[in-house]
Amino acid sequence: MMSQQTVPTLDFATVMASSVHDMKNSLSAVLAGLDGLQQETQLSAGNNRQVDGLRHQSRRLNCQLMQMLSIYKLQQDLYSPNIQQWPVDEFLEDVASEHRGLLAAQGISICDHTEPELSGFFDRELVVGVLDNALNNAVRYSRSRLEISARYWVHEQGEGVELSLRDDGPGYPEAMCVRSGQTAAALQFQQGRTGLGLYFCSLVADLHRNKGVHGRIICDNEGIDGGGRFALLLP
Amino acid sequence: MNITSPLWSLKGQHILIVDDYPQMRTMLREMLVSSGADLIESVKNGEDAIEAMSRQKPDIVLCDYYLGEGKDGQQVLEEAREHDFLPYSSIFILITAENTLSMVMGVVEFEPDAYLTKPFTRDVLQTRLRRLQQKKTNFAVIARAVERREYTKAAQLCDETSLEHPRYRPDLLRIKGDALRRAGDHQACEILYKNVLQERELPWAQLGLAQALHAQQKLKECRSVLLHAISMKENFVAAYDLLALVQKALGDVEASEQILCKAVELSPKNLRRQQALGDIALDNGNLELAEKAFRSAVREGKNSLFGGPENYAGLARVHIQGGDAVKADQALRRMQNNYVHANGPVQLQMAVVTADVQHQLGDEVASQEATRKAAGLMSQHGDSLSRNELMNLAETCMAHGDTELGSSLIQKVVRANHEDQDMLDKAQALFTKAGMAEKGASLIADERTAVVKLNNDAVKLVRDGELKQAVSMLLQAAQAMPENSTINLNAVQCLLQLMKTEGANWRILRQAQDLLAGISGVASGEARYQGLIKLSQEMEQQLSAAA
Repeated sequence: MMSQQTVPTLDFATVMASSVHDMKNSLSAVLAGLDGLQQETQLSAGNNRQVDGLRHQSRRLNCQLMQMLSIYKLQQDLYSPNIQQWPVDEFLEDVASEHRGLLAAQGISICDHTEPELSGFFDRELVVGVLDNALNNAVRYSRSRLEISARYWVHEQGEGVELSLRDDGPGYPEAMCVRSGQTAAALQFQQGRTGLGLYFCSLVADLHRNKGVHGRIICDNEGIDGGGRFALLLP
Repeated sequence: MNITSPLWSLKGQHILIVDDYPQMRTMLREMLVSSGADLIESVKNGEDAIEAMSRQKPDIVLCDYYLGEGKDGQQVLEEAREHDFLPYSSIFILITAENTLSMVMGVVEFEPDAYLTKPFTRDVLQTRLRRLQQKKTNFAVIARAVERREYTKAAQLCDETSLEHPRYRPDLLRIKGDALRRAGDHQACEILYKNVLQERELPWAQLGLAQALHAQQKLKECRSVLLHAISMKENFVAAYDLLALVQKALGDVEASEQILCKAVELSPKNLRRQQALGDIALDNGNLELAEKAFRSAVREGKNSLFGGPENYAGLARVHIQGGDAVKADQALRRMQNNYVHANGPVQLQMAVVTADVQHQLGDEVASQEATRKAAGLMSQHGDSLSRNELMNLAETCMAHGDTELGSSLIQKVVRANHEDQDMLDKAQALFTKAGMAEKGASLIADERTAVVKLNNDAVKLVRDGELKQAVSMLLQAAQAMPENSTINLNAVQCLLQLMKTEGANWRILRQAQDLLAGISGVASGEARYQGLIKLSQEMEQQLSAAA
């Protein structure tokens, strides 16, 4: 039985849920405010860049927040993936359009293409989190082009989907590369922020399973002109 | 791809925004206005949302999940669907802060058309709305078939649309499964879900398969499907709910209670789940747990239209079993104060409960008064009582010495369940307890004989070629005994036969299908029921083809 207390203890999940709700409202207000600034006022080129920078930081904040919450909930067994079948072209169009404005401001164009009628089985929101993470990362390195694409992934037990993001930047340093053969479980995670992003991506990949095959990620330098490539393979 | 096509606009669409945060409401409004919306209403909580929808059925609802005090977004959705405020063409989007909100995987109709996670841009909202409208347009013929209860046609249309638009295949499979379930064709459902599961183990298909097995009374197979589903997805609350029912039916009440405890822990806001837990804990004599569950149900009931007097009644029963008459009396009073203006069926339900509780509290005057009130209300709302409520009222009457009303209530139950040995035993036990074992036995036997004779007479009429006479006799009997599966199945068979000889028509087919739907809970495991479902589907196809 619980001991008698004057102030009841709230469990952390409740605290999180309530705080995240408030934080998301604030983030939405900040982003809408930034949109308003650019639409309604004639800003100087420098101010425009500043606003874009703020928007980028807000998006990163959101991405980190979601990542943190997802990892917490998955580790506490408060959530298990909600796997559904999604048309991949529409899905990638959504992800790309969320980032397109911001990328354009930085002189980066983004194109998306998929094989027709391709569909995949995945937890939509978790995979959005992974791609947002990868996109936020790629924005920092790519020079002028980003390409987001999807194709069939033929694995041991059948067919899945491979979602990839290619940039035209300098590529990943050797230490950060994750080759296609490696399973998420075999990855050694370094401490620090970059490590956490990669941890989240491989955690999400690993949670997607079909007939014993687990999802996986690839980070290598097969991008545009030797740039970075991030791929999420979903069985 | 050009997302904001100039041809697409929200002009003329009735849009409702539900959010407790003023800036969010303003922001959503601005996003919508930029897409041409001109009929927007904003409200700050679930109660106002329901009120607004009752005045004007919306075309689009953007509703935040988290609305502070009162109803949450999911409850708003369920209530709006329950009240029919959301026509098929309408779009309901649930806006969430978290990307890992545990989704209420369960009945299709209680799911929103889409989830949107904050923050999102205007472009994303527009793209979503446009796509959803496109999908609704493509599904319109299916929805019309479902509305007209042409479920076989709806299932066929699902297959056709799926060939034409493969991207909608997952949605269409779910809609098809739902249509087959409504048609009572649980065998076809079972096959559909098993085929899906062979490709991939998806939660909705696991739940659908379990429901189909449950309806056919294949309880053990159903249990193993559910246990497997839960082992894959630990927070699958809809699977827990069904598993609790199955375990109870299999006689393992302890397991049933444990499962509901787990489900309540995962999702404490669901009222019906708390009710179910309260009931089973009370049955198991676990008073502390039962009290907690009924208290939660009372609390949640204040935000929901599913909150009826039975939760207070449950609390009163808990206190009676615990020997606390004062608290039991308090619970009754609170029930009466809260439902002063309730409608007839609810008043009837309350009178039945009050009669029972007051009797157990030893206040015979109050108990008899409630009994008289119940008897009065029954003439108008008698069909709204379940057989357990009827038996409960009968027991109270017998205890008062009102054997006349008591007997007539028991006879009513016997008539509706003349082949259910369990129910007949309970009826006999009530008579025996009232000291009229012999009289009771002969009353039960008379009722049974009367139903059997009526049935045989109808069969004889059919053999003699007097089909129309048989139909009218059986229909009358079915109306008096809406739960009696033998009578209802015979009525259906005669109706279908009548159409074979005299030509099919929609009116008769509907009548047959309504009867089948009415007994699907008690009869859908029977081979004969399945056979008649198939026959009625064939008739429906013939009629659709002819039209």
